[in-house]
Amino acid sequence: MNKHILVADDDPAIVDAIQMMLELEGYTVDTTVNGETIYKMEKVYPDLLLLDIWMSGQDGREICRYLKKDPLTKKIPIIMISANRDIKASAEKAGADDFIAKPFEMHELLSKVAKYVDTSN
Amino acid sequence: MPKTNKYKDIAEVEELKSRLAEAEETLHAIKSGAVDALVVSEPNGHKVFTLKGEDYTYRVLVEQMHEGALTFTEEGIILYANKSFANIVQLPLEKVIGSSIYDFVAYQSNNDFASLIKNGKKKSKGSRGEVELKIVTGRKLPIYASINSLQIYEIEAFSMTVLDISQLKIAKKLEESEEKFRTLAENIPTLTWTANADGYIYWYNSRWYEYTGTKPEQMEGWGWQSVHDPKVLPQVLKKWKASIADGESFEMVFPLKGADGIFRPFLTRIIPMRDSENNIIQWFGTNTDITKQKELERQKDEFLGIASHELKTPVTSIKAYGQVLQKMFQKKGDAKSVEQLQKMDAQINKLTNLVEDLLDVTKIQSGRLEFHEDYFDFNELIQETVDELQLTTEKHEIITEFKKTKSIYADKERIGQVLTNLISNAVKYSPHAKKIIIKTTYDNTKVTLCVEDFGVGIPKDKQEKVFEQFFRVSGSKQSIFPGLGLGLYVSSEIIKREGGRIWVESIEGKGSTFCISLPIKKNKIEQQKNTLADTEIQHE
Repeated sequence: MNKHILVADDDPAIVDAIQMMLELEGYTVDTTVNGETIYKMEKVYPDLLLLDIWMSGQDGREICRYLKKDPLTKKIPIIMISANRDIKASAEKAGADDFIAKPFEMHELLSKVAKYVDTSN
Repeated sequence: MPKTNKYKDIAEVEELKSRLAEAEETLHAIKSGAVDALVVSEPNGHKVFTLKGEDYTYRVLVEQMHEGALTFTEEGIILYANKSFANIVQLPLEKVIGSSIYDFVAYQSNNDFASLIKNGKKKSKGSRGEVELKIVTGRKLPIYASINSLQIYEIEAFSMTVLDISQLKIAKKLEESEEKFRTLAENIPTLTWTANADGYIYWYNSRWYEYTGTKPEQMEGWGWQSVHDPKVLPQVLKKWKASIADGESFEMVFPLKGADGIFRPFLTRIIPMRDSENNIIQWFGTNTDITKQKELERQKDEFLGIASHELKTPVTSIKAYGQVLQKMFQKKGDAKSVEQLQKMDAQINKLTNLVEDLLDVTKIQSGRLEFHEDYFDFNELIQETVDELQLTTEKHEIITEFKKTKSIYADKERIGQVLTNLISNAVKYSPHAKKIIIKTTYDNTKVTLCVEDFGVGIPKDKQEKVFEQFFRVSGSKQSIFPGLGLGLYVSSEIIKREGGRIWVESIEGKGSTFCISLPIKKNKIEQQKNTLADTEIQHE
């Protein structure tokens, strides 16, 4: 079964492009441009979450902290995405597993995703 | 012999007798020392002028006078001058007497002097005014002249007294400049003050009292400390005392408390004023309220932050779509399309770098530039960067001449950013060259990298400026080299923060070599941060 990745970013074009990249690699991709939907995730959890740090007023770090606190979701690897390169510290503080800065190289994103997806489960 | 002739002869004899008597009187007076005899050549022959015996007392008086005194004919011939006048014009007395007064009047005072003479003749009280004399040395001397007309032996003549007013003029000028300074200092919005050589402040402009809401007696000397933030005051005192001790000018930003109790940031500059022997006479200080600048700076940084963030979003998706396309063409085996998309990607990276530079400037200025340091292979990073940048130019061959380097401890991405900047500059500023040479060397403590181009070069006087914010190669060629003027500024800040050094060697028209050196071992960035904090203290 294909690995399942959830992409959360408030810019539809970025979500679209990342989806294409991941699908090209054979991943199953779900997307959302609304941070609220992540809080409402139930039962079916993704194998990895790509999470924008700033989603139309919603703080990605809050979402991250929330998921990492919940025993049901804390094992989901989270990679934070930000337009700011200097977010390592704040991503770590929020409990994210890794981070990547926009704009990124495709191979860079794919290798980070592979790193966490292959070791999970 | 006709009778008339006889009478004429008698008259002639009488005339001769009287002349003889006069000559005898003159000779007697000269012998007794009571008189000066003056022989002056006139158009009709020589003429002798004497000072009558009864004028002797006046002569003594005139000789004793501190002011210069002289008499001269309508033609300007000096009949008599006292020693003081000779001293004023710095000539021996015998050279002064008999010469022309006009030889001593400075060219630009000719008209003024002529009108003094004219008025002196007309008015019974004489005329007075300032003119300039010309001294043998060529120096001009301001004098106050008083001229009266008089008759000497039925000849129209003039007497003149001369007062040297050069000292007075200097004193007046000083007074005027002091007056000007006070007027200026009172009318500028800057807080201004002056202190003695030992730092004791003895004068503030009224803006100081207005802003601080204090009284002169509270502020005199070292009383200013009461309007300072106690947290910052020790640093201000330390720096100011060091300035006083070394005689060095002072510059610092620190908060000052307003009459409303609010602290505002002020840029303070203090410069020493020295006498001709280089001793400090006093200190001149200004405090400029920079609240507005700080606010504008903050707004600018905020704007740049938002703008670069907004620009990055579409760049991110464009880059991602391009790379997806590239991957698709790769799968199809379409090498040509892959190559073109790689070129497109390299251009997107260029755009990204411009946007990053904007953001980095705001981070540098607010001290938010972060470094994620780790060990990495220096040569490997250079090779990666070169491979990527080779795609942006077909003209240049980027040649690498590496010495084996060790791993260094630094922020790989930031150093990569510097390399990209140096190499792209080399490409940009050598449009007609065929190669760019990149060399690395190392020793026990540091690695050094040099990027050499064969392009336009940088004039000697501009070489230090290239690392400043917004500096761009100026002049007629500016249009050929677009850019924001931030790349090298950001690069030099990164290298400084990594504890390294950046420099340039260049010959205009031949090319430039930009070099960086970085310490191999982990270095203490904290120290750098501390020195930065020392130059500017912001009130919190």
